[in-house]
Amino acid sequence: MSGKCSYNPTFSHVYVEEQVKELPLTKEVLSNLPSSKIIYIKHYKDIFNRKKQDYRAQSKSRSLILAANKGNLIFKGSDMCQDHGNSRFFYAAGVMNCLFDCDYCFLKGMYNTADIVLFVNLEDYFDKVKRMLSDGPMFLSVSYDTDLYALQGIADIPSRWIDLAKVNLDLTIELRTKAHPKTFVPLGNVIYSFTLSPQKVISSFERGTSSLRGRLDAVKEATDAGCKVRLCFDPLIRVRDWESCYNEFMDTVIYGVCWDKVYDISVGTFRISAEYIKKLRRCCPMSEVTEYPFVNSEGYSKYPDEIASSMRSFILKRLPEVIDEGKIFCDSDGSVFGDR
Amino acid sequence: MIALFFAMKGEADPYIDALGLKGAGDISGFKIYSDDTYILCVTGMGKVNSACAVTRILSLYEGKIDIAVNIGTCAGEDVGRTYIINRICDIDSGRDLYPDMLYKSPFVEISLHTSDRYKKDSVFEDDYGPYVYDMEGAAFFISASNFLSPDRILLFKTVSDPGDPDIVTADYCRSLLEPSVQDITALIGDIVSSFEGDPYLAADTMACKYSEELHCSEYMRNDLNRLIRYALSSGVDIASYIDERLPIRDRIEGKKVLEDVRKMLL
Repeated sequence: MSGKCSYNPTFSHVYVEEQVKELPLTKEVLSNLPSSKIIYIKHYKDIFNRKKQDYRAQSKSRSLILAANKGNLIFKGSDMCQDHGNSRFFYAAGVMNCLFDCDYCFLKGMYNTADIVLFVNLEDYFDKVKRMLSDGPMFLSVSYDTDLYALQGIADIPSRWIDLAKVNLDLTIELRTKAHPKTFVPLGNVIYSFTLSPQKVISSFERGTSSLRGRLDAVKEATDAGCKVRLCFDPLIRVRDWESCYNEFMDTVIYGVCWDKVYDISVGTFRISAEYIKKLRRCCPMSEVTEYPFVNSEGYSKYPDEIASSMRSFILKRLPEVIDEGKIFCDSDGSVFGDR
Repeated sequence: MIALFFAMKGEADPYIDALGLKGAGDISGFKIYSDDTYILCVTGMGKVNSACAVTRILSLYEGKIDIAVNIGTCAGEDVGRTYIINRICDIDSGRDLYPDMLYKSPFVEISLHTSDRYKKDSVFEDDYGPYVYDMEGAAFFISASNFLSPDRILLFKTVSDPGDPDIVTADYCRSLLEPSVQDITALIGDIVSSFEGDPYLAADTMACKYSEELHCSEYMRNDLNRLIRYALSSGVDIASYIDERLPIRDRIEGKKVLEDVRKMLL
C-alpha cells in the first residue's frame, strides 16, 4: 500500500439524463465543467436513490446529476419555515441537496446521498408558477432545498428566476444564501435573504460557505444597489461559549449593516424534524451541533424551551437598537412576530 | 478485509501469486484463498454463481469486509486494456447500476454490460456510449450492494476478446490480468487506508466505563452516552468532571451525578 487515496474533485462526474442532454441549461452546466466525465443515464433516481450510500465518503467527491423533474415542482411551505406573513407561501424544488456542507442542514436527514440533482427543465417550473399566479399573488422561495448561489460557478439559475419575477409582479421570490452573489438586481418583488452566523459557527459548521465578512459585504452591495434584503439569524446554534460568540457577532453585524435599508429579519433557533436527527448524526458524527442532547417535541428535535428562548432573547434584545420591531419575525416558538 | 471475486481460477491466479494467498478450502463450494488482509473467492461463471458467492462470503464475514472488488476479463474493443467500471447495465433486467467514482484511478472508466449469454458480436457501443461486456458484473454489484456502500464496490475488467469467447483460456486470462495486478492492488490498498474508523469509538468506550460507575439503568446508559458524545464533540473534559464525583454508591446517586453532568453541559 503506497498511501492514502486521492479523491476526485467535486463534480468530476456528471450524470446526465438522456432526455435532458439537449436542454440549454444542461449545455450551460456542461460547458462550465469541461474536465468532468459525463455519464448518460435513464433516470436520476437510479443514482440518487441507491441504497446504503455513504454521505461522508461521497461528500469528499460529490457528483452532479442533471435531470428533468416530472413530479411536483412547487411545494407549499413547511411549518418549520417562516412565511413572513405571506399566506400563499411556496418553495420550488429545483435542486436536491446543496453544495455547501452545513453540519446542521436538514437535507442530510432528508436524502441518502451527498450527490446533487439539478433539475434543468426550468421552463416547466416557470409554466407552473405562471399557472399558480392566476389564483393570486404568491411568495416563492427558490433556494429552499439548496443554496442556488453555491452553484453560481456552473449555472446562473437565480438570474432566470429574477427574469421571471421581472415580468410577473404578483410573484415575490426569495433567494436565500450563505454565499456572496456576484450580481444584484433591485426589484420590489425579489428578496435577497442572507443567513448570518458568527464566524466561529461558519468556520466549524458551515463548510464551503462565505465568511461573515463576505456575507456582510454582500449585504452592503445588495442594499447599496437598492435591493430588498432579509437578514436571517436562523438557525442560532448553541456552541459552548455561545453568549460571547453571539455577542461579538452581533457587535459586528450591528455596525456592519445599513439597517434602514433592511427589509426584514428572521430569528430562529436550530430545530429539525425528529425523523431526520438520526441520519443527520450519521452524516456529521461527533459534531457539536448534531450531538446536542435535543428534546423531542411534537415531532421536532429542538433545544429545551428555556435554552431556545434565552438564545432568541439574546439576539432580539440587540435588534430594536437598529430596526423597527415590526420587521422582526421569529420561528414558530418565538414570541415576536412581524406586523406584515 | 478486502474481498476479491473472480469468475475463473485463471483470472484469480495472478492475484493469488502476487499477494501470496494460501488456499483456505472452500465455502459452500466456492474456492477460497486468503491471508489476514484478503479473502479471494473464485465464484464460477455467470450471474447466479456470482450472486451466490458474493452473498455467501459477505454475509459470512459481515462487518469485517471493508471493500468488495470484482476483477476479470470481458469482451470489448481494445484487447488487453484494463478498465474501471462506472456504470453497469444488467442486460437481462434492463436495470442500470452505478458504483460511486470517488477515487482517482489510473484506469480509464467505461460502462459494463452484463448478461448470462456469451457475446458473439463485435458491437460495443450503445446510446450511452462505449461499453465492455461480461457475465458477472451486475450480479456482483447487486449482491455486494446489500452489504456495502457503493463507494466500497469496485469492478476492474480487462478486455480479452472482441466477441469471440472461444479464444479465452485459463493461461490467456492469466497473461491478460498479470500486468495490472500491481496497480489494482495498490489502488485498493490506498482506498482502504483512506477509510475512517468509528467516530464514536472513544465516546462509546467512555460511556461503557462510566455507566458501570454510575450504576446506570438502560435508560440512564443511553442518556449518559448522549451527554458524553456531546461533551467530547464540544471539547469538554467530562471524564475529569465525573471522576471527581467517584465513587458513586448506587443508582440514586448515579442519577444525581447524571443530572449534574447535564446541567454543567447545557
